[in-house]
Parts: sequence; C-alpha cells; structure tokens
Amino acid sequence: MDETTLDLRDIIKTLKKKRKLIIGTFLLFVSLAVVVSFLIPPTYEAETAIRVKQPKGLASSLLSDLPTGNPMGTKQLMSTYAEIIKSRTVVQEVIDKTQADKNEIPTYENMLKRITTQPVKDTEILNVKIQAGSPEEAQLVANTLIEVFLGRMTALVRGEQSTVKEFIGQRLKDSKAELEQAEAILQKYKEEQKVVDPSQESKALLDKVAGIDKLAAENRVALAASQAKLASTRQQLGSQHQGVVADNALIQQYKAKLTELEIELVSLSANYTDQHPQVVAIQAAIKETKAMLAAEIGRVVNAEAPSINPIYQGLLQSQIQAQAEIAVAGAQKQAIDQIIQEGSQEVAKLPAKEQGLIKVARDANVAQEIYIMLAKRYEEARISEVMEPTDVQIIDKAIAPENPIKPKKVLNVVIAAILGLFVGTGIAFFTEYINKTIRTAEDVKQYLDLPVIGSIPDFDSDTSSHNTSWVTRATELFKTKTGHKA
Amino acid sequence: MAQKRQLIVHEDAKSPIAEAYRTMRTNIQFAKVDSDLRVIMFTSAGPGEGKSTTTANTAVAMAQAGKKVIIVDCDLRKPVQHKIFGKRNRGVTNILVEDRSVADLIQETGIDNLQMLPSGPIPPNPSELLGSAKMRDIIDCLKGLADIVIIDAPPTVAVTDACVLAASVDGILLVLGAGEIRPEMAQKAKELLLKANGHILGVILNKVEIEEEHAYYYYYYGNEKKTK
Repeated sequence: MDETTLDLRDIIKTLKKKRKLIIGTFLLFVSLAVVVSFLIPPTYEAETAIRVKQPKGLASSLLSDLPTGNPMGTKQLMSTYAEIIKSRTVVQEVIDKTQADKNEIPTYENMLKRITTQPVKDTEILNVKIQAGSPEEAQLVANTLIEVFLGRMTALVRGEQSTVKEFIGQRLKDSKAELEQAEAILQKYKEEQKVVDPSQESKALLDKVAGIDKLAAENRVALAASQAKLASTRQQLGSQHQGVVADNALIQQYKAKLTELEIELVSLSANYTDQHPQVVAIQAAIKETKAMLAAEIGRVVNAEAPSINPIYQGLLQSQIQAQAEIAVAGAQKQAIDQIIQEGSQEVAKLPAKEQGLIKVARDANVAQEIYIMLAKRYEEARISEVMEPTDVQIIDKAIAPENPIKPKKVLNVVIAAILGLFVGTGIAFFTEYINKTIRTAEDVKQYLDLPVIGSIPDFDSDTSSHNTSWVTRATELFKTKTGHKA
Repeated sequence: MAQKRQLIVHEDAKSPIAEAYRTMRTNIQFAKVDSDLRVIMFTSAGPGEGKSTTTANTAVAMAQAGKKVIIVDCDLRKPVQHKIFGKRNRGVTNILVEDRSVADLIQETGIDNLQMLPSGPIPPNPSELLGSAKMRDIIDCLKGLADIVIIDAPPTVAVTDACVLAASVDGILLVLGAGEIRPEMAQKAKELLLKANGHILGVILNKVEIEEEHAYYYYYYGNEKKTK
C-alpha cells in the first residue's frame, strides 16, 4: 500500500460528497436534542444560604476556644455542617415532612442526590441547593431542610448541655449542703469559743492561704466540669468508636507541659496575687498550650477516624479533651494539696483556739468558693441548654425559583449540534476510508498502472441538478436515501 | 437510478458528455502506435459499471469521425446493444450455432457509418462459443467489412468470456465506474486480462463526478455553442 496523503482538496471533496450524510446526522442530533429537552420533566432548584460561625461562648467554655478566624477551622466546620445537613436523620425527617403525599416516597439516597451544599469561598457562608419537580416543592424542601437541620443542631447541643447541667446540678446540691454545714460549724465554733474575729496574726495567715484555697476550689470545679463533659460525651457516643485513641507523642507532650504549667501556677499563687506579671504570663502560657492541645486532638481524630460521622468526630474530640483536662486537674490537685500541707504547718504554730477558728473559717471559705463557682457553671449550662445555637444563622431563606435549571434546552441543542457535526464528519471520513474506491486518474495510475483513455462524466448528476440550489438537492438526496432504506 | 440507456453522442452531440467521448476517440486512435488497431474489446471488472452504454457511445463517436464501424455484442449472457439501438436480437449466436453468414445478420443502425451485430439468443454455453475457432473467423470476417470492430464483452471478474476473447482482439479497454469499483477488483480484472494475453489499451473512467466549477464551465461552453 502506498502512503496515504491527506490533501486539503480531498478533504473538501469528501465533505462535499458526504454533505447529505453530515447534514442528516446534524439534523438528527439537533432534533433528538430538542425532543429530549422537551420530554425531560423540568427540574427546579431552590437555594438557601446559611452562615456558619466559629463556635464561641458558653457551649464550649469548658476549654479555651480555638484561635478564632482560623480558615482551616471554618472550612472543617463547614464540611461538618454540610455533612449534618445530609445526614440520614435530617434528610429522613425532611422526607417525612415534605414527601409524604407523594405516590412514590423517595428513599434517603434519592433525596440525597437532590441536595447540594457548597461553601462560598473565603466566607463563612454555606449554600444549600435543592432540586425538585416544581418551584414550590423546591422551596418547601429547602426551607424544611434548614429548619430540621437547625432543630437537629439545637438538639445536639442541648443534649450535651443537659447532661452537663444535671451533673453539675448534683454537685451544686452537695456543695450547698457542705457550705451550710461549714457555716454552721463556724458559727457554732465562734459561739462556743466566744471569738468574733480571728487575731491579727491569724487574719494575715488566713488571707495568705485564701488564694490557694480559691485555686483548690477552682481545681475541684474544673475537675467536676471535665467529668461532666466526659460523662456526657460517653453517653452520646455509647459503646461505639471506642477503638479510636488519639494519644500520640505530641498530645502526651502537650499534656505534660500543661501539667507543669498548672503546677507552677499553683506554687506562684501561693505567694503572689492574680495580678502578678509572672502569674499572668503563666496563665497565658496555659491558655496557649490548651489551644494547641485541642488543635492537635482535632487533627488526630480527623486523621484516625476520617470516615466517622462528623457528629461523632466532634464528640470523640470532646471526650479526649475531657480526659486530658481530668489528667491535668488531677496533677494540679496534688500540687495544691502539698501547698496546703505547708500552710497547715504554719497554722499549727498558732494558739489552739486560733487554729480551730482558722480551720473552720477556711472550710467555710472553700465551701463558699466552690458553691459560687458551681452555681456560675450551672447557670451557664442552664442558659446554654435553652439557648438556640447561634453558630448557625440563616442568611437567605429559599424562594420559589422562576425558571427550571434542567433541562438546559439551548445548551443541549448547541452541544447536540456540535456533536452532530463532529459525528457526521467522522462517519463521512470513516465510510470514505472504509469504502476505498477508484475515483480519479491518479487512482488508476496508482492501483493499475494503466493510462486513462477517457473520463465520462456522470449522466445522472449531469442531467438533473446542477443548476438547482443545494437545498433542493439535499432534500432530493435525502429522499432517495430514505427511499433506499424503505 | 435506473440506467437511461441513451446514445447521448448521437442525440445531443453538443453536450459535454459527447465532447468527452470525442476526446476519448482521439485518445484511442493514439493508444497503439506500433501496430494496427482494428478490433477493440470493451469490458469491465464487474457488472453495472456502464460498460455497454460506453461501448455504444464510443462506437457512435468513431462513426461520426467518418470511420466505418461495426459494433458486436459479445455479451452473450446479458446482451443489451440491440436494445440500445432498438434492433432485432439476431446475431452472433445465430452465426455460431445455425451457420448463418455474417453479412446476413449485420444490421444498419440508422447512424451513418455504424453497423451492428447483436448477440442473438442467449446460449447455455457462452464461454465455449466465444472460444471456438468460428468466433475468430467471425472477427476476421468483420475486419474485412469495416475499419473498426468494437466488441462489447461481459465483465471480466465475474465470467471468463472476456478473457477468452482477449487474445483475439487488438486492444482492450477496461471500463471502470468511478467511485464504485474497489481497487482489488480492478487489479484482479487487469491481472486476468494480461494472463489471457490481452493487450490493455487503458482505462475508461465512467460516471466521473464533475466538480461544480468544472460543470459550470462545461455548461457555459455548451450552451453558448447551442445559442450560436
């Protein structure tokens, strides 16, 4: 076989010769696209926008917040909320609420296909789009979805907070009893020993230990709060996902550092007030370490259990945080106990009567301190429980869309037209290639090596159609073509 | 696309197609320089390439040039020449089988200088008849009666008839339907004819598609001549 050369003239010739085929394919594609576009039932899309804020405030006050404005945090939070929106509980409820009157109630998977969530770049806005057969339905489903989602978020937060509230409430009751008892003892002691006020010396000593007593009280409350949190997350997690342990070297390091800092804070507090620069510095360091610990835990949970439902991921994260807090608080308690021990030795040097007074006075002080703090926490938890979660806000409610988004008639037809031209041309060249025939004097020379004595023009093309327009010619050829097929 | 069997060279002598035949006529005259070209056989590779029409028109064109031409229909399987010229079908087979004389069966066509010998009734054994010594005698006899003898033979690849005649003629013209014939078929036809000691003068490309600009030129020229 000789090398086949592609000549522009040959190409044009082929195109001319096969124009009926190309035009036919083109028209077929276009008409098919038009028919299909009109047959496909239209789909409408309603859009809502919600704002997802970084969590702040009471709900997560147990541990210091992550540094706010962290874009990674926002992104992660957006995906978490997007997943919650698409979760089975939420979507199923939407189906129950909006699709109950349908002949064919869609399944969760089918409904999921109609929901699109899309974060708007560089903002805290999450767009939620719903597709449906009618504008009204799209609007209804979109608004119901957001409603159900917000309800679900509230329930999730409240569930957590109510466990915490209950736990702290129990402690508060105990603490109140203890406080009453301690005050009664103090009163009784004062009456029995006939002392109204401690001596000057005792008073100084009492003031000195008051700081450390306050720290001890804080420590106990923190411990209680962490335990409450742990209990709450454990309860919600159930027995599932116990396998994940976010306990790597870095977390251990942060834990150790946090413990160290807390103990240092305790020993400083024994001698200095809260305003002392060294105390302030340590407190800042503690805050920073806590944030880093929280970030690291979040990272590890994400890495080790990425497939788990984001709600569970969040719970898991709080659980591990609570565990870390309990460990730190435990270490802190030991340090405080030691300082209190030292304080008691000083107290032992005072007269017996004074000693007794200081002891009962301190008990009463500590009990009061604890009670106040617990009461504060309890109040916080109570407010959080009834509060609407403010970290999700509805920016735009869905409105009924005017025009369907699918089928895109013009686009379909344009695509079909282009495709038709391509396919038609492709088929033209392909058939031309397959049906290789002798056509010209060059072909004769190439295949037969014989001279061409004469070239007789085609009778039919000659007699009929040279002076007619190509349109009539095309239709004529079309007719003969279909006639052949019939 | 029913084939309109027409003698366009005769009926519309000014048409571009007639012009194409006349050009071809000249080419044939110069196709064989070294020896006499008296007996020319027309054949094709396969059926339906327009062989018989081309043959008849070429014969007419030659007759118009003043040569005495006899056209012989040797397609004993599917003869059509008598239909083209509108004559009785008595001819070659009658001579071969019934011992009739050649001169008796030659018919005038109504065109100056052109006579014809139709195929006659379709025989059961065309290849044998065409290969007989008597067939060669007929050709020799016809040579004596005219300047040029034109033979219409059946397609080459389908049946052997053309190959049987190949050695008895001075030159062979292979009619190929442009855009219809596959190269392999044409090559096969050439091979068969050469094997049978035939001398192929060349190819006639039939049904050539005229590109529009050329067609316009043709027509313009033709019409202008007509109006004069």
